[in-house]
Amino acid sequence: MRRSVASVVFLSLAACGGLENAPLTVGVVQGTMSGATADSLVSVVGLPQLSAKPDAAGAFRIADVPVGEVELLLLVNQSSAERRRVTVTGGGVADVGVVTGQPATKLEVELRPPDNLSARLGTVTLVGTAARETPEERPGEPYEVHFFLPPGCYQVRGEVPGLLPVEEEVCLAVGDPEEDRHLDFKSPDGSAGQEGCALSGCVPGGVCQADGRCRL
Amino acid sequence: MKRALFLAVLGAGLWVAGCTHARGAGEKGGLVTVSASASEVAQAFEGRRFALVVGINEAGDERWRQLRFAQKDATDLGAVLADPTHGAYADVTVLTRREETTTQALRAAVKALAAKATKPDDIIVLYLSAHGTLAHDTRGQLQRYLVTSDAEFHRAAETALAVDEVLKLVNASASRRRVVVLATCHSGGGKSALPDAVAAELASLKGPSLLRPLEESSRASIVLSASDWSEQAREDEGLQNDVYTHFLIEALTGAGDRNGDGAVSATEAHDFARRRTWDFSNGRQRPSAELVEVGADPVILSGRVSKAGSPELYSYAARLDGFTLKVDGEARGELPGGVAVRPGAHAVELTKGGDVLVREEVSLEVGERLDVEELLARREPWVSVAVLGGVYGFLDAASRAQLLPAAPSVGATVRFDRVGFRHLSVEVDVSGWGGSQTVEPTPGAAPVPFQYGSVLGGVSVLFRWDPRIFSLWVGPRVAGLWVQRSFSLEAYAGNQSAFSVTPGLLAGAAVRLGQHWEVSMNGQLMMTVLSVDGATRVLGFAGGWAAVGYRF
Repeated sequence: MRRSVASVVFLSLAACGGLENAPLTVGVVQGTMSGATADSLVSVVGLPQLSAKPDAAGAFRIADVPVGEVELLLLVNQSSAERRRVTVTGGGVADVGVVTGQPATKLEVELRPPDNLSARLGTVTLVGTAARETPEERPGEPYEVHFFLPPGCYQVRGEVPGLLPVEEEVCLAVGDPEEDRHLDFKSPDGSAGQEGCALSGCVPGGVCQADGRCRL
Repeated sequence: MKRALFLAVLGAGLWVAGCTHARGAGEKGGLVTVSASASEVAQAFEGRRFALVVGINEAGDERWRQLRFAQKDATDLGAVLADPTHGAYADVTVLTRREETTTQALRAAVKALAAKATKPDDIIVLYLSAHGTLAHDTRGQLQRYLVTSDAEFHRAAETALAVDEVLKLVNASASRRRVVVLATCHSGGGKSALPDAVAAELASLKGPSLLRPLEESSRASIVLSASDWSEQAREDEGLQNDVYTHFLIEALTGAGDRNGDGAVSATEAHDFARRRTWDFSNGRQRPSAELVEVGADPVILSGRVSKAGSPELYSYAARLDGFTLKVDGEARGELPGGVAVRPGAHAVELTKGGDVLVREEVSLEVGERLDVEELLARREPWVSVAVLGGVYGFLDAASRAQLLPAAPSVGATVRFDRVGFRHLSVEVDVSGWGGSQTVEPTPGAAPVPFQYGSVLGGVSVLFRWDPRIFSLWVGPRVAGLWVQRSFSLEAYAGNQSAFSVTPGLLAGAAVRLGQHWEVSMNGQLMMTVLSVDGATRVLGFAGGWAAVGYRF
């Protein structure tokens, strides 16, 4: 009964139209990468869903960026990259201008699944960003991915279907030309194999057995 | 909602079923017919009448000289009240003996009187004829006291009976028809005597401000006083009574039935006794009535209403004290008071000296009563048009920061006074403003600029009081609030608008500057519903404005 009365009172408060504050809580980040390639990427750190690839002229634009100060990870090409802080205003555009980048460090990450399992379906991401790579499979070669990053610390996360994900922090110093890392994977129960190869496949030349192991 | 509708339909169904069932002849629960005349039914519902009549000739202290007729006053009045052809009071208690009129005994008797009435329509009358005196109470305030048979001259506050206490005891009764008649005075002369210090203090006064008005103690009772506060109540050898009481008794024996309806009401009796006392004392004793809503006074002191009375014109408004009421060019008496006139059209005037305050043609029917103060009100301006300037804003800081900051406004109001009822006004207002503002949708982030426009229009129904040159009002208000925000930003451009019907409350005050101008202040509190980002929010909204108005 009380709810009915409350409903009547509420309905008597006729209202129409409305005010929208949502468009005022976000803004746009835009700029241009000098020397951009097809692999170039701009990502808002901490918000991996907010990223953009520059167009042929190197211009990029990311919408719906929350107001306040955010950090951008700008991966220009294999020799230059940059991290840059920018302040976004409600309904405004934060233009970072032309980005040439700083000398980049090559981060090489090798995915090492156990017992001849394949990592060709695996991925490596920089946590909190849209940077993500998948290794190529070549007979006899390790499963590797490469990132060309500006100095700083990164949380690297490797994932291979059927195996436990692996995370590792990597800090790159100014002037480091290259940094190598290995991500050793394990199966969920701690033992190698099980249904693993049914999900990930086997290295070239391997045959997936019924018990989930690969036999060369 | 469906549930409420279902319950209403179910209740109505049960009621109809119940009524239908009760009509079945001979069945349990059916109606029983009894034989009773209309007058018998009316009498059954009429309130019972109780009276306590007190007369104290001899005070406990000889410094209060002995009164000659106080006991006789009580006995005479008690007889008239008990007389079936006059007062027809079934229960009249007369206290005159020394042991019956001590402070303690009187306190108990007044309590007993108040307790006898069990219904609002029951009538209780308390009459006190005695010496009066003044004394400082425990808080140092000067109070009226009744001199009882054991009161001590220099210890009146401790030993006499405070008038305030008497009124409080009477007001505690279940009756809503209560009359207290004080045939006494507190001026130091006549039926009173004061200690030298109090008399000197009284003599130094230029006005009656030291004493609280009796009505402060008795909002609900009619208090009839034999004399005004600074005057003497007198006994008269020729009349063999207290002067006021003599004429009060005369009124109750039929002379006071001004409108000829068969009954003498408290105000009719007082008006009669008041005028006669005034004439008899050559203007030296002016009995006063301190009562609320006296115009609708239903307290019958004597007789029964047997027919509709003649039309009456009356006023007890303090501002009309001393005005002469003329009907068809003939002076009919001074206010406060009332007169009966023939049914039909009359020219009514209020005059003082050579000035005519009001002259109005009125048509009155049998049984009609007209407060002549209303004639004044009819001549007063009743429409006020004002220009206003004010500020509006949401009550909560978050909405002010995120939706719209407090904004100025200008506009106009039109107020219609005395809409169907003297104290009722209706006010229509509209105001608005526009300009630049900023909001902070994200706390701590840079403010976002925008242009805005707002219009607020409302209708208020106000209950209004007009003490002296002031007016105060308060009442419900329904308003429409329209707000538009326009953004022109690099990444977002657009117009947003919202409209909401907002119920609320309006209160205000005005000072009248002469006949036509007034300066007023209004404050309003409203509840508004707004859709913000698709979610409905109920928000408090407040505003205030100052206005300058012209009345016509």
